Amino acid sequence: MPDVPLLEVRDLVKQFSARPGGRRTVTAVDGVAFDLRPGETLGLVGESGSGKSTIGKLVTRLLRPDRGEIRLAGRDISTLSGRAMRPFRRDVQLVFQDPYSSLNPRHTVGDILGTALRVHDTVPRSQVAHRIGELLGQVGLDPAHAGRYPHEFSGGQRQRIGIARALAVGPRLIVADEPVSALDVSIQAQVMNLLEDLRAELGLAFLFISHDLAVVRHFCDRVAVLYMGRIVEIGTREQIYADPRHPYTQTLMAAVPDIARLRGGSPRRIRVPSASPVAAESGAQRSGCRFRARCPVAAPVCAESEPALTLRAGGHRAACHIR
Amino acid sequence: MTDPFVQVRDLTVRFPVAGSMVRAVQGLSYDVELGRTLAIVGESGSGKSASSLALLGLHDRRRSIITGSVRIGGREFIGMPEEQLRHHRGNTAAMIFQDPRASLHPYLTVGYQIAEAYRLHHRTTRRAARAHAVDMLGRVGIANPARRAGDFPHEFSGGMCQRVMIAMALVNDPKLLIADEPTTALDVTVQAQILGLIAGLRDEFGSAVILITHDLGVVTDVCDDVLVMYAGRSVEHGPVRSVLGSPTHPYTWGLLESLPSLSGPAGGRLHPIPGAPPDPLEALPGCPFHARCEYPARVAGDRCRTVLPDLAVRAGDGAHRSRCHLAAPAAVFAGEIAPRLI
Repeated sequence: MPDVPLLEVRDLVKQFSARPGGRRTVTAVDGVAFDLRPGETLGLVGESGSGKSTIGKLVTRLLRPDRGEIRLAGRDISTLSGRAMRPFRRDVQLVFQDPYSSLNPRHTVGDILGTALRVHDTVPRSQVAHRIGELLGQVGLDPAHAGRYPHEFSGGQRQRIGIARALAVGPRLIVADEPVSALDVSIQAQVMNLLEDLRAELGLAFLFISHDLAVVRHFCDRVAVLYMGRIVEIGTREQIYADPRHPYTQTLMAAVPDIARLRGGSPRRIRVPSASPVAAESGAQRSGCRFRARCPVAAPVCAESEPALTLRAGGHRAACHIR
Repeated sequence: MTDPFVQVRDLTVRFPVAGSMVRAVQGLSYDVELGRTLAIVGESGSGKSASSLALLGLHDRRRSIITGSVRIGGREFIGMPEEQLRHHRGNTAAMIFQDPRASLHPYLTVGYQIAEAYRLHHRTTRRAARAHAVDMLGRVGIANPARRAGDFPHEFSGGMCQRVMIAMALVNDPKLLIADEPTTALDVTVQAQILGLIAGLRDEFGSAVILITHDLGVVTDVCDDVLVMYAGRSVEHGPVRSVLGSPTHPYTWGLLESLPSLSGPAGGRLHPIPGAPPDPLEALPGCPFHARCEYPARVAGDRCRTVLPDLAVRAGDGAHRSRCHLAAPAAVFAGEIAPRLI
């Protein structure tokens, strides 16, 4: 049944208090819904504060949502306790942005991968060492280096270790939060190719969180654009990049400096758009479209009601009154 | 014809580390004219930041060995006494950094910090300096500058903090602005604003700008010339259009090939540069890029491994130069898989 979604997210809400112990809240994720099929890659893009990383932490249940459903292969995991969640953690694994802070510096690479294998009883104990070597080989590292510590590896190699750790338990979905943002360009391409190979070999689905629109375009089948905790546009790669409907998506695309412009024609003139947002605080601008203060095409109707995500073409949805 | 405002010649920066020597920058030379922007690009450890810090004498003299010549506005900066350097920092040349929040004092208002930078170089009253600070805040695009001058850094967003840093850097009207990854920590929409601001102020003040970045897209947008650094050396240098449009060094070409793009075909595999940069502790003869390069076999003998190539003229009246033994690298690259960006 290839059409059954691996992940179904419905009406997801997460609030944080604006200050520790304070009563004011910030709604980081505000009613987000999407599906992800087995083997599919969905990109989450948006500016800092748009809620994309929070969604990643909710889906991996590092955070507990305030409202909404997260269905993994049909089973709602949004309110499971830590213990009840454990079997599902094998299915969903996280790859972090910073390969320097996400690996324990006092554990060898073998320990790091071995822990993941043992915690989830993925392979018989006698097989652990063999499996560690296999995993290292799979991510392009020398299996003989299992005894080394993280500091003995470069940034790109450490990110490979983080990927190997995610693969250790045989997940079906990988949430990758800015997995190549901390890497140099030439190394970034190596890691992107590794992710591409793993996707093809293992049929992994990805929730791929990135601020880099070119990287997302390269890697993702579908893309969701987030603005202040909401999806403002979602569609296939072609729909989002060739035919963006929401003015915010268009603003983002226009802001990316792209070297292709140099080779294609004259470099664009930089426009200076209006100020960037701060995360939505409850009470402030709760009515109407949240993008309207920065929107080049805002009209009176935009202050009256918040636009819903409406269908524009097969699977392409945007939340805008005007476009 | 007058000399270029900035003339760097054979700049070398070395750090003694545990009985060995890190060669951060080796034999770097370039010019920047007033009203122009030079981009210095390269990966971590390529020497792009180390070379710019050396321009203003910002390396610890006890822990670094700096040789060569840096002339800014006709004055030699290498070997200049600390007291004179302090006079020129801010006045002649100013610098902004990647993380604006870390560069601002959290306990002092932004207006005070900008005014302080002004008073360091001008004998004036606090009130006059304050007025100057407010004026600068307005010029870098902060709305309601008189009121915002009394705010603290934490009351500003990251992009606003970078505007404050730019205001502070330009308050003494320096003729050279060095910006070290000024937009790396910022969202793309804010990045576009900050780059537009820097370009606008460059035109308004007629200053020279050195922009250090790892982002080739940023280079395309706001720079006139680009210098590509690898393992402490300049490997390709020239007008942006020429260098990025028809690269003549395998490293530059590889960087362009490894980038995913917003146009052209999507998906498939990228073409990364294999391997990793060389260990800066090892003094290697030959081309610093040879171990990752695809083309040493096309060069007669073992020259890539043994002889450092000169910065040879490739195009544009000597303006476009690169350090490669291949006789006609552009033609060699053209024979490869067609660059996906064209």
